[in-house]
Amino acid sequence: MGTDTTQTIGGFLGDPAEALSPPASAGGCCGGPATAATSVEETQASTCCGTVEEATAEGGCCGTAAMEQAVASGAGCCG
Amino acid sequence: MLRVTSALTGSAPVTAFAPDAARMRAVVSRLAADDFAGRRVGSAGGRAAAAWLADHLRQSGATVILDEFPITGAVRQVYATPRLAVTKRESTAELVFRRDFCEHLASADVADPRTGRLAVVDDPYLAGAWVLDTAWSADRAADAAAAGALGVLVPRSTDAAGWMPKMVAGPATVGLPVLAVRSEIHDRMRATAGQAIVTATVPLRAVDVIGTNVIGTFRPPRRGALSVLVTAHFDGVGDDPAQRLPAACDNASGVAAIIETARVLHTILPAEVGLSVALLDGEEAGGHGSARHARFVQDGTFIINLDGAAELRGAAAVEAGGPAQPLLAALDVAGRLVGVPLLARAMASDNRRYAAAGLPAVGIGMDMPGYQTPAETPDRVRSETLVAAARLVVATAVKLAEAVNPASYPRPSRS
Repeated sequence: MGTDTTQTIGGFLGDPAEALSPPASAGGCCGGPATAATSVEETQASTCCGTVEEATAEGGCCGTAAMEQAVASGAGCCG
Repeated sequence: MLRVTSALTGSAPVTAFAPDAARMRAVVSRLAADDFAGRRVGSAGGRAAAAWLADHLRQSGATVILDEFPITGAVRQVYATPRLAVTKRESTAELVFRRDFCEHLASADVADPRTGRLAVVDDPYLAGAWVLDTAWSADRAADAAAAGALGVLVPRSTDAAGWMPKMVAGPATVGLPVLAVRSEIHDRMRATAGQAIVTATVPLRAVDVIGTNVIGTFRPPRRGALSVLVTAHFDGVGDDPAQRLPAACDNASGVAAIIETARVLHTILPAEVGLSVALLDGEEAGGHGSARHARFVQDGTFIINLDGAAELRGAAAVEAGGPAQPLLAALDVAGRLVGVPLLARAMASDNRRYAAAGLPAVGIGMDMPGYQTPAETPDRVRSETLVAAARLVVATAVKLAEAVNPASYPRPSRS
C-alpha cells in the first residue's frame, strides 16, 4: 500500500464550498479569457460572464448583464 | 507530516504517477497544426480534429463514438478578410484586421465595399455615412440604419500583445455592418469626422453547422459504483481567412491533459469504477457539445472539466455545480498533494452545462496566453503546466473514488 505526502502548498485558498458560488466576472464566456485566478483585481477586470446563478437562470453559459457588457465591448458572448 | 495511504494505487502513491509531458505536447502540436485550421465547430478542420482524437483515444484503450449534433444560427464565420480604409486629403490608410479593427458580432454581412464620409453618432444627418459611436448600442445602430447610415464603428481595446481576440458567438445581428476599431484609432477618427472618407467590408455570416463530440469509454461502472467523466473542449474559434489561430492554449492544452489523465487513470482506478472521456465540440459557440452530452450521462457520474492548461501563474480557477461537494473535497486534497493552488472563481465552460443538468461537475481553468488570437501557439503551452493539470485531475479522481466508495477501500491513516 502506498502513501502520499500532504504538502503545505496547493489546495483551495479558502473554503472549497465557495466554488459552488464563485465571485462573478472572472473568466469569460464559454471558453473565455484566461481564467486562472492570479489575483482578484485581475480577474475582476474581465467583462464576462457573470455569476453561475445568472448563467443557470439563463439556461446557458452567460448571465444577461454580463453578456450585454461583453457585447458592448465588442468581444461577443455566448450561451 | 501527514501521510495518506492510497488503496487505489497499489504500491505507489498517487503522486508517483507522472503524466507524460512529451505525449501531451505532441497532442497540443497536432491539434494546433495547419490542417485542423483552428478547429472551429462544423469546419473541415474541426471534423478532422474530431476524427484524429477518436483514433487517438482508441489507441489509448477506449471505446469511442462520434456523436454529431446540429448548431443552428449560433456560429459566426468571417469568410473573407474584412477591410477598413480611411482616406483623408487623398492619403489612404489601410487598417490591419485583428490588430487595428475586427468584426463586431452584431454586424450584418456586407461583402462589397461601402464608401462614405465619416460621421459621429449625434450628427443630425447620417445618411451615406460611416458612423462613429462611443460604445455598442443595438438601439442606436438600428436608428443609424433607419437614417440611412452605411455602417457603425465602435471602439474596442486589444490584449497586451495588441491583438483583438476572436469569438464566434454573439448577439443578434443588426441591419447594417459594424466594425470594432482599436480605441486609439477610434479616438483619432473622431477628430477627422466630416473630413475623412471610409471604405469598409464586413464579410461575416451566421452558419448552421454540425458539431461532433468525441466520447471515449474506458470502462463502464459496475452497478452502484462511482463513475468519473473527464472532459475538455477541443474546438477553437477557427483560423481567419488569411491568418492562423492555432488554439493551442484554448483548449488543445486541456484536451492533451485530459487524454493523458484518462490514460493514467485507466491503469490505476479499480475495475468497478467507471471511466470515460468527453472531448467536446461547440464550446466556443456556447457550450453546445456539453449541453448535448449532459443528456446522456448516467446518474452517479462525477464530471471534471478542464478548460485551459497552458500556464499556471497563480492559482487555478475552480467553479463547481450540482451536488459537487465530494468532488470539491477530493479536489482540495488533490491540490495539496500535487501542489496546485486553487481558488473559487467563475469558470464559464462546459462544466456549467453538466451542472445545469443536475450532475456534480467542477470546471478547472489555468491561464491561456494569447487567448483566441494568432499568438496562441504551441510554444505558449508550458510542459510543467500540462503535467500539473494532469496530476491534479488524476489525484482528484483517485481521492474521489476512495471517498465515495469508502467500504471498498481502507480509510486514510496517519503514520
